[in-house]
Amino acid sequence: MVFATQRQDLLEKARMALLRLNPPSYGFADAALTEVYVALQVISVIAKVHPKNYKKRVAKVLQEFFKDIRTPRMRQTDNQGCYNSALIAKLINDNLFHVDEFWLDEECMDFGTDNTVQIEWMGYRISWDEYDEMLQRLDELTRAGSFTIMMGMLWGNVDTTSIKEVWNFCNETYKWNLPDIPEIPGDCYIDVSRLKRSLRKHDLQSLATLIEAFDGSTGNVFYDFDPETWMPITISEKDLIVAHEDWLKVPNIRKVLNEAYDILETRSDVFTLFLEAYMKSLHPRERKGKR
Amino acid sequence: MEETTNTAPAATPAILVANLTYMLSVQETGQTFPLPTSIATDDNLIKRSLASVIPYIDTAKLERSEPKDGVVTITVTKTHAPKGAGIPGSSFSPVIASLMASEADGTNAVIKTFLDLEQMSKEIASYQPHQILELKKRIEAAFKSGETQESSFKAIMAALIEISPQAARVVPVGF
Repeated sequence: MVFATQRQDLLEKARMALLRLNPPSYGFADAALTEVYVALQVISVIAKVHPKNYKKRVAKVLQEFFKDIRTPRMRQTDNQGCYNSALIAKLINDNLFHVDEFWLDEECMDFGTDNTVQIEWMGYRISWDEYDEMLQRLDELTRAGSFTIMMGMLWGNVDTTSIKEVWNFCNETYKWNLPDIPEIPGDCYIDVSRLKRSLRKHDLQSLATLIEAFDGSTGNVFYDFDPETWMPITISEKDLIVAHEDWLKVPNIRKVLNEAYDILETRSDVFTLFLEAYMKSLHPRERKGKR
Repeated sequence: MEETTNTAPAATPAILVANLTYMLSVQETGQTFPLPTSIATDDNLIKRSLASVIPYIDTAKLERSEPKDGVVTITVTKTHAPKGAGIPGSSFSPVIASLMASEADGTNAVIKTFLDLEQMSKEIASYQPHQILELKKRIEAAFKSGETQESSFKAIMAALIEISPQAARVVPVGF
């Protein structure tokens, strides 16, 4: 047993000595060192946000990462990920915030050449294409889903020639109890505070959060992130901490949004009460006169 | 026990000197001429005496044949001298001296740091936060200086590729 251990140690020393004699190219060393640097940044942040048990959290993955910082990178082929980068993504995912599942795959993630992290965005923002698709399948929506259609119409996203038809269909199918399309004054904005106050009177304040999630203005990056127009987050300790803090708020927001969907499915008066509050919260935009 | 002598290895033992004749053979030109015994017994004396006749003799190779019929032939073979930089006092000497005195081995800082990290990688897994901070600073410094060095190399390479070849103004000693 002792002999076997000694032999193993000797082999390891020989391996390390041989590696020292085989310096890599600048490009390879730069990428591998960048990957190590990202790992150290992530460890630092985990140590800051989990000071009591950070060692326990990172030990296993780190041992795996630092077992070999050369070979996994040598194995990768063009435009492919790196095993060690996937380990870093796992560290982030398990200890700081969820990353996009796709990027947990070692075939995709390479922090050595792409120093960014793809967060797991919640997807409440609706793109034009998604909205159009919903319009094509109006009869397949849930009652809560029809609320998205209503908001789109209030925000002017439906063509004037078809808005009446869409409104009437949803009103009848999803029991909005709103036979007439409201007239939205031009050049106005929503006073969110006022909207929230009005909705709170009817215990519907969660709908205000849902609208913010649709709009991408919750103030939480996981709800506001727009993969079509936003750049992925470049890894820095500051951004990792901010993202982690936002991630801690995600369960509460999720709870509120689930509540909003429940209300939209169950309360018969929700559409009428919401529209009343919405119309009251509209304010004409004040324009400063030219001097 | 073997006795040691103070006689120079290149010199012929004094006891035989009186009976020998010395001939100098210049291999490059094929010339052969006799040498006085007083000079021929010492390579350094030969070099000093013939410096004006054979300019390269200072760095030439002198080989003595076995005496044959009382004649020892000393063959002068031209050898390449150290290049210009090797001559003390040359304008290249300070460059060579500073390169020799340099502590760095010329490896790019990024590559060197990578190799160092590779050697200690298993210890890093159990580092304390303050050690991680220090290591991060070290890597940052390596990126900074390594990138500068890499850019310089690339610029030099680009310049060398761009320029047209030029004949040297000075012929290095030995050519």
